[in-house]
Amino acid sequence: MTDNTQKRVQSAKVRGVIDRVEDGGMAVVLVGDDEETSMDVPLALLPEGAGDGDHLTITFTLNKESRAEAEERVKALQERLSKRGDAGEKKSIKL
Amino acid sequence: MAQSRRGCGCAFAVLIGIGILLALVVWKFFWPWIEERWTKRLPPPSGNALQVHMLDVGQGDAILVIAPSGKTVLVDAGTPGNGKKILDAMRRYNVGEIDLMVATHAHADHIGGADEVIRAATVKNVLDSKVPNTTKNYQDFLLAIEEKGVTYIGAEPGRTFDLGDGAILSVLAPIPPLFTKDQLRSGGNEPNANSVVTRLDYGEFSMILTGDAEAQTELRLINNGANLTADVLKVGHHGSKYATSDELIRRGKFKAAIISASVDNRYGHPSQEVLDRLRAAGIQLYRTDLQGEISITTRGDDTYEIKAAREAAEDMWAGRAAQRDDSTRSGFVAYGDFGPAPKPKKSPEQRGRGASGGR
Repeated sequence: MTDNTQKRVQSAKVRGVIDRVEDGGMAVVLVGDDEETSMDVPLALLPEGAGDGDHLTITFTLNKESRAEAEERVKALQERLSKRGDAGEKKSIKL
Repeated sequence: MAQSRRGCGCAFAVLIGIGILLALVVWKFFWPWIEERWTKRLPPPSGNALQVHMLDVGQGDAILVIAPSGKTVLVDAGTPGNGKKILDAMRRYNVGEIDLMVATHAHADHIGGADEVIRAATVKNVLDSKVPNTTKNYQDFLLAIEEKGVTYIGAEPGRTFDLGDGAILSVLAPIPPLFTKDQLRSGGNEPNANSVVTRLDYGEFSMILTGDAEAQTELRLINNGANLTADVLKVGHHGSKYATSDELIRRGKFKAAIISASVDNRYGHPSQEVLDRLRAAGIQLYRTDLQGEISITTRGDDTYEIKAAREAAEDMWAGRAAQRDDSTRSGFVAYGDFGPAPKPKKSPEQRGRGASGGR
């Protein structure tokens, strides 16, 4: 596969299994065939009825639109704060 | 006669040459020290106690500095949910407000609890690298600053904060032009590389606080002539193998080093490589993962005391192993929608030694 092909990849699927549900409704999901990686996922985020021993297919999808929106929001916030900042060019600030 | 004049000329030229050489040596090796001590003229210490508390916030940083004047600085605020721990520490040390909050960079293990602290306590100023992150956590941090009317200050080298009674906090990094992704190692990231690095001085005592800066940033600091020689080092990036280079250790001549990490982190923090480098340099080691909160007290003379909340039950010089990234080897059902899986990563660093987390 070429680098260009890799760049086009937008999603990935991975196998998971719910090893157990811990106190407080936190599901411990073992990821991958060797199950050496685990994720703690609140049970409320999993499909209804999911529980101990259930197998999952986890999909990761890049959401570029959401990222771009967040970047815009952060930039606007930083600009507002910087305009309002009192320090300006002052090098030495007495607290 | 003519010969004698020539002889005089040669001797004069040699003297000029030696003079230039001496000036170069002084400039190269002693200028940072001269600049710090003479040009900026650090004020004399009042003799009251300066306290630095490396709070035990698990896998993150939160450092509470209480200046001899009573002014306070909070460097980072741990992971989300750690605000309460920090507020508790403020109560324990009778700290009513934070005069300066330093956000070394926009990762959740450093600014995670910042919005909680800003909303619950009085924070007067925030110093930020201004290198953004797209997380809600970073947005919440900025929104809290806005809503509470906190002064928002960008970090730039040379900016200093006078904490009163002779204590000064100086910004050493980020040094412009800021690092960009293409300049960094594989797995490196801009928030870490452009961390706010500061230096705390009080009389004879000094400390370097590095955020998650790694070797590339350390090298830039050295080449920029930053004054890195200090008594204590807050070890960069929780002891990641990519930080705390031999070059920094040589330049810093540190006597003690403090690592903030959690006992159950999966990122290989602290790494065996860094612990070995610190041990080889004869540096006294402190770790929040094994000893809990670490506190430094000094009156600005040539002594300081470092106390740990508890004795370590494990070997202080044993590092942690990173969880292996073997995702390219197994477990993936399919890739894309849904094309072939990408090639396995070939980086020997990632495959052979395991990837340390870039949090």
